[in-house]
Amino acid sequence: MKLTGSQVLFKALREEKVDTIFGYPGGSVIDLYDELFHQEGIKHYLVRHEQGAVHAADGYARATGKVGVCLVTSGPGATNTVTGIANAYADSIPIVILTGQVPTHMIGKDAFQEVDITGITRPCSKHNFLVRKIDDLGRTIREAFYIAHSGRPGPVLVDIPKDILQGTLEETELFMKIHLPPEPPKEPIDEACAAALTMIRTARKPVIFAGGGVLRGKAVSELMTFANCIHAPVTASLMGLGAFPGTHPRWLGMLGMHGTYYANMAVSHCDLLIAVGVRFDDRVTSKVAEFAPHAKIIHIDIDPVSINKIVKSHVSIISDCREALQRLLSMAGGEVLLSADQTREWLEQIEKWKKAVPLSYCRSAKIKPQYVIEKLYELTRGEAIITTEVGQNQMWAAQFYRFDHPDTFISSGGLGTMGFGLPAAIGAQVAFPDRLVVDIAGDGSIQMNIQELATAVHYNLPVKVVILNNGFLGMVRQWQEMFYGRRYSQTEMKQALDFVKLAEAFGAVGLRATKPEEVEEVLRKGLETPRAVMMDFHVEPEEQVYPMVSPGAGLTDMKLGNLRRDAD
Amino acid sequence: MSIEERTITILVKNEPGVLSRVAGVFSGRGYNIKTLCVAETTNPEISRITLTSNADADFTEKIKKQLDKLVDVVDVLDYTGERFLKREMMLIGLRITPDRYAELLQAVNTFGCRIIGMQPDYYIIETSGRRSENDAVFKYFQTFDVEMMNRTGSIALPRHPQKDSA
Amino acid sequence: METIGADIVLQILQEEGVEAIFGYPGGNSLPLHDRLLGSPIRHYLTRHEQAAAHAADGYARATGRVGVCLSTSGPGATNLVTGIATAHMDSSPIVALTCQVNTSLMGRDAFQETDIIGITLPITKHSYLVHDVNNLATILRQSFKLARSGRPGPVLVDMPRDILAARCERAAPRQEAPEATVEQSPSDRQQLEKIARALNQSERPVIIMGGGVKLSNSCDLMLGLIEKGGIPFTTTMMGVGSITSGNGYDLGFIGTHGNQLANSIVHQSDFILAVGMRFSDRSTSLIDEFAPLATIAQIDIDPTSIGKNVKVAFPFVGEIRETISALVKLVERKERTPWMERIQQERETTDNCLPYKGCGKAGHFISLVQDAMPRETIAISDVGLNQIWTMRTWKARTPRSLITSGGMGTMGFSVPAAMGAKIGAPDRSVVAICGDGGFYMNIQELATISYYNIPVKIIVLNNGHLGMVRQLQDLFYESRFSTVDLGTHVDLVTVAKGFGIPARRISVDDSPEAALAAMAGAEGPYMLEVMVDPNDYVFPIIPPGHPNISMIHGKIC
Repeated sequence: MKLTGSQVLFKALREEKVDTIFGYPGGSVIDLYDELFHQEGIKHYLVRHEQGAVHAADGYARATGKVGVCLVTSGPGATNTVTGIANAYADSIPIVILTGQVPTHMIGKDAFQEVDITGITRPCSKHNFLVRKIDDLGRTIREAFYIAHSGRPGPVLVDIPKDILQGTLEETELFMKIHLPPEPPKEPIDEACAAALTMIRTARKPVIFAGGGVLRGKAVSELMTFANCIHAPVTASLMGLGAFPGTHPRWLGMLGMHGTYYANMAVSHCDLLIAVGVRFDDRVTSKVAEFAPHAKIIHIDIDPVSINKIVKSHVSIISDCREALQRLLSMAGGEVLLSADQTREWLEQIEKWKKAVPLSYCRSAKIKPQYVIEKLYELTRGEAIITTEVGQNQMWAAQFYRFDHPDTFISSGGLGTMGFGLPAAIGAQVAFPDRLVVDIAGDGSIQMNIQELATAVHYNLPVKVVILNNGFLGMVRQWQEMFYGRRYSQTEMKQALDFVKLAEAFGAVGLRATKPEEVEEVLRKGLETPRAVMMDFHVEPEEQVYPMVSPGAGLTDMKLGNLRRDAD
Repeated sequence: MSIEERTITILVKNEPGVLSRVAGVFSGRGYNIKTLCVAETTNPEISRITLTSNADADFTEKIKKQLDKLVDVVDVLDYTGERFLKREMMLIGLRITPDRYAELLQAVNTFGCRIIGMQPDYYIIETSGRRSENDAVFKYFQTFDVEMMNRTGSIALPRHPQKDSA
Repeated sequence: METIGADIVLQILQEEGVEAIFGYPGGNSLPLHDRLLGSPIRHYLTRHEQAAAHAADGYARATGRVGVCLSTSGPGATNLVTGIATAHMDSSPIVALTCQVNTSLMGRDAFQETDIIGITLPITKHSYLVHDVNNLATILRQSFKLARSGRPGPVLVDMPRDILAARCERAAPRQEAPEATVEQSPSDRQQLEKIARALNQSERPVIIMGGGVKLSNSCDLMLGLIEKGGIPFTTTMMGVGSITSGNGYDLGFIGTHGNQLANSIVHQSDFILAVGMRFSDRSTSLIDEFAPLATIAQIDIDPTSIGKNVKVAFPFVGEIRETISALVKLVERKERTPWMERIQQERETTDNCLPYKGCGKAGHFISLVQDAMPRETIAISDVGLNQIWTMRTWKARTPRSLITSGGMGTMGFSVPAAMGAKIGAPDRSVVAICGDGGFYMNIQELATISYYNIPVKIIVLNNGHLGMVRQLQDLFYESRFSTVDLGTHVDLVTVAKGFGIPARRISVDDSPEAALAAMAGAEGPYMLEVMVDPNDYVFPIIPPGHPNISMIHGKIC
């Protein structure tokens, strides 16, 4: 029996157990969409801009651990995915982007809606393919999925010309088998693990630093066992939040530019830093020469590129995080590596730092954005899936919401893409229709992909949007206040924009709070409403995110604003 | 339209990213680069890229026009055909035992290669010539125990300088 | 304050006559945005960088000047990609300024770092990464020159933050190199004579004009050529509006959604003079069966356009103004009565066989919009049915008054481009015409329009669907409507009001006088939503993969 290219494609997707696609049709993929008409078992969500489709696939992937899938047409449909692809690439998220392309004989001729998307996305994707023969289609799709989720995950684009979709192939010749070169044998890690164990046993001030790799590598329970085995405190990068419970007594909070005082102090004074699934991004290390100056560094990561790229490690274990931690634990033979006694003094010092400068803010007659997050945390009992936009909203979410479970904090870390949160929330909500999903946004960021509110309403996805509305592009304004003499250039957003009216016009529910007393009620009502809700909180316009590590300075050089409590 | 191997030489300003741009033009227009060689010319500000691609007769004119649009491209010339001398270089590393030294040396002399690396059990042969000649030389040396081989792309010069365009 | 790189940027922008730029700040653009505060250059903060790029493009298309957009690094820069690709395909001159991470951080996967030069290699005319603040002025001047010269196009300049903050000297004034006058070479002269001879001897000639005619400001010269030679003409979609006096020689535009008369006459022609057009697949349809009887002469400034898609007997690479000026002297007036009669006959049967040029009620409505607006109004269409309805019914009265995304076909182009056009041409009225699909794509720009009180008028032809795809599915996929229903649960009028823009809804069946008067009379921005039946399509069209003479006029049941 003959199958069309479109049918081959869907067959390959079914082999990969795909049941959800986010997309937007167009001329080059009209045959695929026609075939979609006949396909059961795959649900397609029509977004309102292709950027929404990629971010939704990304949010879906982060929430579920599966490969997210989006489908767009050629030309502008494909270029509209570039930011989303670069975003997934920066955060190592497994997604497959299927783009339509003009027929093979028209490629390179500047045809209507033709663009060299494989050329464009070469620098910002893990890999990409242009399918030139229908025989290659099934196999290429499957290879794309494999590449997306294996090793260090990442986005993979498959560009499919229209004539390939229209072509036919005998069902027996589907060539679905993946033809990748055999994996190079894994480097044995026993020697490195042994060296690590020796180093651990002699440490007295250890810190575990977890990153996105722990979540992607599904190593959360191993991390907990390991942390208990060495009685060490744990910190994380933005991407690692949720890898260790935010309510645990040994949790240090986030590390880095807007990390907690005590996390930054702990890393700066520790004698052993065990870095698991991190890449030592500049937001975390700040001045590299002064990062963890007293520490021996053990670096566990699956990607050899990350090892010794920014920070020199003393022991490096190139491995999947879960395997590495399991190996370490099994080599430790079940015995405790560092006892509570051995780290007691260290943990006490950390408690002193926690008491000296906890995360806090001053109450006032205006709504404080931190208060909104705290209340949100309280009312959701820390059980919501939180997505964020970028800027101050993102930092306050990371600071004031405690994540006890993995894959519940979905935020654009590496690329810092404003407009990510709402479509990512849609992706997460599609994955978990019965969970509460909340996007924490600023008034600037939420406008970027606000069209996706129509998508949420269209599919009855009850996402909640919490807008910390300060009338500014807050984070840029903060820098202008601190370093440019408060010269606010192009950061004021005071305008006639009425978010409540907008929400209702889109078919969602709109709520507003302008005084602190109104916050709890609005949150309660919003969270309980079984529909898409946008909550507009008019917050203090010129609030700063603290702590803030001065740019180019070491982690201990933090601006604390009003955070420092009186000494005990 | 017959598909043949075409040889193009491109003079470019020695700026970062130029090679990427040139390669991008080929892949964006759907052409495959078969071999590629690039180095500075006597003018350190100008590099020469020589590449080969399997394409039809139209190809050269079309790709020249596309390449000419690139700001960093200085000139594009067609070095396909009999008017040009085209050569490649090849290095062959092979394991050798004493009983075959003489045979090897004779072959090297016959073919006009050079021995550039000599360890008691491992020789490296350098050969340069037309691709077909190199292919033949390699085929012969496969009767020895070839461990590794590396070859360059083509470079070419006109037999006699002429002022015509590509 | 001492001079820093950022000041050089503003100095050169001013020198280039840039009065307005469209941008969005971020960490790595701080030094530049800070210095903007003291500058006479107006910066418009859009709500998404894609809109900044489209606005710069709209500015350029409306005025002929180079449009400028500005973003921070990382996602700010990648958000410009679609806008840059759109300008690239239509040869629109824009300069995209992207700020980059510090040179010391480059290549280390820093926060908000991306290889924007690598990403935009296929879609820019050229791009620069500034390594040294002392080269900044030269690079910027070069960028503007490249953007506007030859075949115009987008140029990107990537500027690391430390370069923008680096101390330097003010740039020395530009050295005015004397404009090299290109003498017509003897072989050029010969070639033109050959073209003129072939044209003069032809019995059924047609002139096809593309976007290049408007870009080179050669519309008046083309009109002179047409009238002197008595030659019928057509245009591509990008060429619409080149000739504004409807003078009997106009065949309408060719292509997939063009005029049947134009497609038919081109098919029968024996000589085609192609000026500033690139024989894109939308214009020619099935290339193997395009103009089978015609000898083709092609004049273009870009050698790569010539002979790329069709065999050209008389290629001519040259600047259009100069070339046409010379050509017109060599062209003779011929009466060609049989040809003109044939055209007239066909015109009578085809031009009016469908009401409102096959654009139905929506087409009629658009003509009423045009009547309600001042004469020099600029109309900017989006992509889809709305685009074809607009391009077929709006009569361009000046060359830069009808603007559309032709090559890339970018939905969401119209509203931000209209913003840019209005800012570039403040004395003219500007109307954006889009569908509901395209309207969603950059809907956030309603906030920008409201914030700056930019008086653009927006017409949303709302059929609740992705209309063009729906039409194709209805005609060629047995009405299997898959994923084209955008729903009607969103109240677009209230959305506009929520953004602070007055708005109103009517149905295409209503009498629109009051609504149009309200829109035209509004001092500030205004949005008019027009409900259209999803079964209203556009005809005639060339079915995909068919030659241009096989247009169909309706759904075949």
